[in-house]
Amino acid sequence: MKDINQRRIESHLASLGRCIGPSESHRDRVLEQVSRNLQRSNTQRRTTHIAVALGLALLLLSPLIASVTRRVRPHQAATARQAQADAIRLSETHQMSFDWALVDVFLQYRERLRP
Amino acid sequence: MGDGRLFSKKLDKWVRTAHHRRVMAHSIHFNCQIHQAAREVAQAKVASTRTYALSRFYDLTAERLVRFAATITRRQHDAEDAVATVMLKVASRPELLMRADQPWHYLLRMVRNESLVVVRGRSRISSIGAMAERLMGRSVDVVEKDDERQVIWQALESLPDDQREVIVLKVWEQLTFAEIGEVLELSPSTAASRYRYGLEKLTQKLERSLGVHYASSVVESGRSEAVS
Repeated sequence: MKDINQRRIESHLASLGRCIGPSESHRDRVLEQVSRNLQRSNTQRRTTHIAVALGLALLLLSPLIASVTRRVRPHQAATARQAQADAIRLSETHQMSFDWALVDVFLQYRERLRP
Repeated sequence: MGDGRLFSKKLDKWVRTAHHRRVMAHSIHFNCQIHQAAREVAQAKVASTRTYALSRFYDLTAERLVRFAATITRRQHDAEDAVATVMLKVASRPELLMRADQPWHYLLRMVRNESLVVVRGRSRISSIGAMAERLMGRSVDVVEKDDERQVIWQALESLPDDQREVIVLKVWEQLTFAEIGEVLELSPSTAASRYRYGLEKLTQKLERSLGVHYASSVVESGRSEAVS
């Protein structure tokens, strides 16, 4: 009798359990959310991989870049003596005054600095 | 007369043992199925194939998980949210289930934790949430149609959380008290006593609501099962 009563309650509860479940749209919502989430995490992972690869490449190439930049000498500015010598040469060649030749020399220097 | 009682006792014990064995076999089979489904999710590397693998995992477990979550959250959409969060976790880290000895128990624990998080979060914004639900016309009740089921659900809902969880795991998931103890992090004897007290309260409530006469000695039979 005791067991019968217990089983009665349990069968009531079991029948209640059978009618509880997810709504019809739940499956689609969950799968869509999962798909979006996986795509986002894949993109993040790929971005991280690329960033790490670039960092490593930069680390490996940095000695090479350093040696290349050391070889390239920066443009050195003309000294006053050099400017005067160039101006004298120009004035003698073109038969012009030293002042104007100096102006021309400076203009040439400026042109040379432009990229 | 004495022989008849002895025979009845032996028969009852045999029936219980047979039922217990059947339940255990089903539990082992179900755990294997979950392991297999989790392995398939883990093996799928592309997002689309992993989503497909997860759909199979969902079909295998979601109904029972939502049912369990609903008894904690007491709301359909909260239960669904908790299960959705668990599904996302499984999709991103299926190895968690592959590593577990009892993946079904592990999943139940995950759903329980997520449901408790949902419940805690809801209590903070309960008034706003209730107002929004009314405005949006969203379903609050888990069971709506059937009157009798509604009454049983309300009786179950009115039980203390700890007793309700044990009853649900015992009746719906057919877990043993040792397994329930593992899921809820209790000792088996505590799970058994909660089941007994919960069933006693449920009997009284249903007796009042449905007018069905259940013997008060249900408690004693619950005790004998706990011992067995």
